[in-house]
Amino acid sequence: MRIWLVLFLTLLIGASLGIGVADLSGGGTDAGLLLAISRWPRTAAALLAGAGLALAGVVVQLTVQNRLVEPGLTGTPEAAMIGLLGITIVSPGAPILLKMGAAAMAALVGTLGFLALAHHVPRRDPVLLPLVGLVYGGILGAAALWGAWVTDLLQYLGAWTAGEFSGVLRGRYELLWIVAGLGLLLWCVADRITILGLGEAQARSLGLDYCQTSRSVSGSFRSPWRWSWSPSGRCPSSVSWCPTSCRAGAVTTFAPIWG
Amino acid sequence: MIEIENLRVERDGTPVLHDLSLSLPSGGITALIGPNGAGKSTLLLAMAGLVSPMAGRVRLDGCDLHAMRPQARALRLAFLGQDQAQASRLTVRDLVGFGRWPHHRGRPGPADQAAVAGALSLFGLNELAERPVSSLSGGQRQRSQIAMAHAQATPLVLLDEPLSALDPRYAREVMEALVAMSHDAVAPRSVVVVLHDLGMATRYADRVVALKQGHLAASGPRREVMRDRVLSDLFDTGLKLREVEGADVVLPA
Repeated sequence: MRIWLVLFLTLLIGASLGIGVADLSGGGTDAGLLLAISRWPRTAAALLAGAGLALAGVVVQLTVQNRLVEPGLTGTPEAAMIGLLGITIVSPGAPILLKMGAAAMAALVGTLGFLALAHHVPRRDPVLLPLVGLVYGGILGAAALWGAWVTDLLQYLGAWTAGEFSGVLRGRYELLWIVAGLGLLLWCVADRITILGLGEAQARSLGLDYCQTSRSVSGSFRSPWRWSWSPSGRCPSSVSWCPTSCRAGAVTTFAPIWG
Repeated sequence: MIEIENLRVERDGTPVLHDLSLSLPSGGITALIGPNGAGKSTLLLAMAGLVSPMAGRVRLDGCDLHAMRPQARALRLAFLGQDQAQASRLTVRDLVGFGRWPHHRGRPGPADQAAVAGALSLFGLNELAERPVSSLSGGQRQRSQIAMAHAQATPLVLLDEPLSALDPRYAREVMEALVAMSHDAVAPRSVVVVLHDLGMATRYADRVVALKQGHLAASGPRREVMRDRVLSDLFDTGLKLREVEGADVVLPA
């Protein structure tokens, strides 16, 4: 099954590199330049954003020990919207990196709020936590929309939160490589993350420093999601399906490596 | 050897264990029995160092359990609680393999794989080894968790109601596996297990600790504790111990 997924992904990468207004069939310098400036950055951005979402999905599920939760249900995108809106109101001409940073920091605070809430939600009913996340995200989203409406930035916010890769060019996506680095880091601590998912008592009885690991992992999982969000927009559809559909691949990452 | 001195534990501001003192020698199976809310699970958690007492201490072979580093503690005791999180998409082999994590910290060797294979075999999980834990029945999952605790290979094993989801056949097999663990000729282990099935406690335990409303009601060898009067007082209902076809069973009086 996994080999077919890899082949399918390779096919999609090929399609992404090949499809566009300009014809690359002639080859030459122009084709190479087009690939380097537009097609490859676009494809790499989509790949890295997808990988970030998948990693974030698995980690958030293990952290809160709930398979129904995914980063889009933790108030993270809505909090990022508030951050983006805030920086735009305070400093409309701020460089894109500053805006991304503000969105990322706000997403961090928003997710911390969700985790604080999750701590008090009974674990017996797995549906309860995603519902709490939905309501929490809804409240943050409403605040963001209200702020955008009052400041006449609704359209601007909409443009930022719509998934869009076609406009990604060289120089505007490189921050996404942070996701690759974080992915590598998460791979190194995959066994600890999986143990975290076994529950606090079990994790502690296996000798894991639960609080420290939980804090570190929570910070890490937010990172790929935040960086995925910022340069390419929110990608509503991929937020909801990526953690689920990428599960097979991501599980490989978080399964123990024997031998 | 576990020594508990004047242990007082509160959960959410409510006293659960009141100045409890207890000493358990190494080896054998100790059954923790008592009515609902007696503090059995809390005592087990305290013995695992997973709840901090308001007063008193728990010593394991002379060392204060709460002063131990988590990794050192994980090499000396394995704990299996009642509320097990869904082990996501791990296979049974992977889950049992995590029992070896305190030993290899992410770098498993042949000895770890052998221990996992042994645990799978002992708990009859060979056929399920490659199946995701999430696809198993409650009883199969329970056995996988117990196998993980076994694979941890610690001198002390603490199990909270391990038979709760098992049918009679597997309940008996698990208890027999625990007996085998506790009487292993090479590395005998002390097993402390919370049991609601008094018949199992009567049949398999070497010692019994009875708790009632957070106080120690009785403690000692099985034959001293599992008596009509003690059990009836413990559960506030008439109970009697009778021998049926060579085995002790607990019946309503």
